[in-house]
Order: sequence, then structure tokens, then C-alpha cells
Amino acid sequence: MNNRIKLLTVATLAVAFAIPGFAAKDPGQVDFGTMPSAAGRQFVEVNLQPNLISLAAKIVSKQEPQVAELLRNIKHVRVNVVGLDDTNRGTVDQKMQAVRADLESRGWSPVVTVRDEGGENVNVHIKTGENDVIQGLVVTVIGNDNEAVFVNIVGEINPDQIAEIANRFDIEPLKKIRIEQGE
Amino acid sequence: MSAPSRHRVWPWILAILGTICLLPVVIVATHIGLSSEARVLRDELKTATGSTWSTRVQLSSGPLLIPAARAVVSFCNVDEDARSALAAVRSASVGVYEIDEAGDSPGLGAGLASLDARLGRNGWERLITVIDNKENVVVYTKAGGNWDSKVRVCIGVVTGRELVVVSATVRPEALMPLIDKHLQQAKHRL
Repeated sequence: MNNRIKLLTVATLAVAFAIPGFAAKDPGQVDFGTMPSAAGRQFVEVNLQPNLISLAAKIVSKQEPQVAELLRNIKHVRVNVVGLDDTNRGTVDQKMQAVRADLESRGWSPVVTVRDEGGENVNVHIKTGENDVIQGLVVTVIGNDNEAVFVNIVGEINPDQIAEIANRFDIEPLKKIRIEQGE
Repeated sequence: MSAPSRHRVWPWILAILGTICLLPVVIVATHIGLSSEARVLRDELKTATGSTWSTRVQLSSGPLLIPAARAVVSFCNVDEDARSALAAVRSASVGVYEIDEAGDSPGLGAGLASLDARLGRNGWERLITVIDNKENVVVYTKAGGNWDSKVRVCIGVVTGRELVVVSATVRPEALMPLIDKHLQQAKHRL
């Protein structure tokens, strides 16, 4: 019996860590997994942890208290920018579709969807908690400049702060949206 | 009665003389080697590039260099910003290497998993990664702990012909006045 329980525990943990997003601790946190880079193309990954964000909040608190307040509510920021060529385009595209499908199956709401003729493909998903507070935000973009972008911002974000986040982190798709409270 | 006490003194004298002789060796050894995390970063980056590298500079702050530098700077007419920055550094380890023969590896991206695994064993997390044609940068930080009092960073930069690794422990509160001053200046310029 004990062995069965052990086996079940190990199996559960193994499955949990194998599914992207499931292993993440916070409801707003999404694990994009490993990104396949293409030789000679740009690859950027930024993974800001709570201790660094709170340090940044402390640094700007005197000069920009509003920004400090915003940062204090953010727990985690992850950004991936992957340059695309024929060697990784298919894999990255599949990964992006899988991330979007996974988010929607877990109750995330798509708030922005853009498909333009130039080939730009943008999605913004949010995870809302009690009192319409946003617990997480995911931006996925495949641009017409051979670049894929994945952004995940985790924390208690007031919808009014979205524009501020968009400006501070320079996330172009977020600048265009406005989320009404109660929606 | 006095002979035994004289015998007991000799081991102490020998120990003191031995320490005096060994001290310079220990000091030199601690200053020319890299910290363990910088060594791992250097080795993994060398492997990932597939190139052969020769050492140009390799030193660690050890227990004396940073306080000595602070003491020297306090008597010199050095820029206030440099003084503040030096005051924030508690220890540092720097290595600069030049390429001997370029390799044809798939690039740094392929070596990241191994780097993460080795540094991750000691609690280091990758914070920033930038890989492009001209410059490759990886920044690791020591996870957890109180960042208000101490931040540990380990940085690797690979350009076309140069590899630089830096590992440092910094006191953020000592940097606050410096950052504050520059934020204020930037705001005025805007």
C-alpha cells in the first residue's frame, strides 16, 4: 500500500512538472518551458524574481512612488524574445499555440486578438481573481519581423494599471487595450 | 623547571613563523583564482563556444583587495560615483579571456541547459539571457536571501574575440544614493 502511495505521488509530481504551466506556483504564473533558439538569430530571456522586483520598487520609491506601488504588486516577470528562421519557426509556432490553448483551458480570458495581413499574430490573455483583480497576464506575439515574443506578468494587477505596465515594460500590444472593471 | 616551559614556546614560534610564510601564498592564491560560480560560468561558456581561449586577466577581490582599494580611493581625488560604487561592492571575481582559435559550436543557446543545471545546484538562477550575433550575455543571481542587504550576481559576456566573467557581491543599500541621484538627473533631463 505504501509503495502504491509513493508511486502515485511520484507519478503525480512527474505529470505536474511535465505539463507547462501546471508546475507554476502562482495562479497567474505560466511556465513557457524551454525556447528553441535559432543559430545566428536573437534570443532574449528575462526572468525577474520577486526579490529583484521589490528591490527595484525600493529604488524608485522616492522618485516615482506610483511606479513603486505598481512594482510592489508584481511578483514575477518573464519575457522571451526568440528570433525565427526555418529551423525553429515550426516548433515556436506550435509552442505558442499550445500555450494559448492551455491558458484558455485553465480559465484565462483572451482580451486581445490581432491577426493582420502583414502576418502579425498577437494574443493577450488575463487571469482574473476575486474583485476583478488581475492575477496574471500573458502576451504572445509572432511578429512579421521574424520574432516571437512571450511575456508573463504575475501579481495583483489593477486593470487601471495595465497602461502603466505597458509603458513601463514597453509591451506594445498592451498599450492598445483597456480592460473595464466588472467585465 | 624553566626548560619545559621553553620547549612549550617553540611550537608557538614555529607556528607563527609558518603562518607568516604561508600568508602571502594564501593571499596570492585567493586573489588569482576565480570564485567557484565564476569558474563554472567560464568553463561552460568556453565549452559552449567550442573555441580555445587564453587568459588575459584573472583575479578575485579576496579578503584584502576591496578594503585596500577603498582605503586608497579615500585618499585620492576620485569621482563620487566611483567611490559610491566601490563602497557597494563586498567582493568580486573577474576573468578576461581572449580567443585563440574559433570553434564551430551551435552557439550559447545549446549550452544554457548545462549551465543552468550546474549553477542551479548551488542556488543560482538565470535572470537575463541575450544571445545575438555580436554579443552574448548571461546574468545569474543567487536565489532567495534578503536582497536589501546583499545581492550576488554572476555575469558572463562573450563577444567575438573576448570572454568576460564577473562574479560579485553587492550591498544594494550602498548603491541607493547613487541610483537615486541618477534617477533624479534623468528625470530633470526629461
